[in-house]
Amino acid sequence: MANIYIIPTWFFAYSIILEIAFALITSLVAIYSFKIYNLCNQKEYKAFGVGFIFISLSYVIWAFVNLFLLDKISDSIQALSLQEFISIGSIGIYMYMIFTLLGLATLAYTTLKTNNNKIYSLIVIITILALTFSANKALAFHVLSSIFIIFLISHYLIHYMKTKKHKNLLIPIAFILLFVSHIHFMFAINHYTYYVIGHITELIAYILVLTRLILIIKK
Amino acid sequence: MKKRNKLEIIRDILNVIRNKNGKIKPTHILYKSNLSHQMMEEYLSELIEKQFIIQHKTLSGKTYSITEKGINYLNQYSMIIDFTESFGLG
Repeated sequence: MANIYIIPTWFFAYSIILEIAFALITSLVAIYSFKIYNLCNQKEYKAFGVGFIFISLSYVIWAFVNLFLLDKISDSIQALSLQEFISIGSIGIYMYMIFTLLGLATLAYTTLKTNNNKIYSLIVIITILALTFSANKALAFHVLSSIFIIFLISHYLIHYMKTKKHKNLLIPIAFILLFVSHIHFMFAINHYTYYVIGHITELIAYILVLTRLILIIKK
Repeated sequence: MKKRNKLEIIRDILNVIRNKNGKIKPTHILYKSNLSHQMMEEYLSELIEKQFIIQHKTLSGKTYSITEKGINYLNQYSMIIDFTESFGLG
């Protein structure tokens, strides 16, 4: 039986709150990206916004999955199984994975500085197929996500080296923390502590993103 | 001289048009914007398409004026640049 995470029962409620918070922060980034797209009509801002909308949706779905499971918990630690295709929980988990990967793939595409839709389609199709046909979907999901995040981190760090502005370090640091959180989630199959630490690391990452966004808006 | 990115060039062209307080001729834009003729024509076409500026055809030739959308771009420019730099876009 394939498991994805081990979640302690006491953390379920916090997990839901955190996922809703992450959804709000990522949707805020998307809103501002669309606002800038309306101002300057440059397609990359639209794509960037779409990427963050996908990620925001994935967190909303994950929050609903946890809410659904909270109903079914009696006591002790609950493990999530991917074998059952009928339950809402399993469909929710797949939707979460697909939207997260779509979001990260879209963000990675924006860094390529191209308007070629064929490249975007290729990245998305390969990603979805890799997830669909993998034997261990949880591992495939985390490996694919980590690859996209590493790609984004390298882009943001190169960008920082070019601009040499310290304020531009917040976003690469945030993505480094997101990568670290994914590593923790990979190990959450074995122990629930990793799931908790993964969420805390993600929280710090999104606080950095939100901080940067607030500094931009305040200008 | 530092090479300008696309957003900066758009800002410079719109500023030139706005500072004229009305309609401006292409030669004046060419002189003030530091672009080649071909580049200027490309940018002007794009700005018309995006409704940042309006082209007026008169007996003495073409003139351009800035729209509300173009003024809005200039007002929000520092926010656009900050967002662009922070998230590695542009």
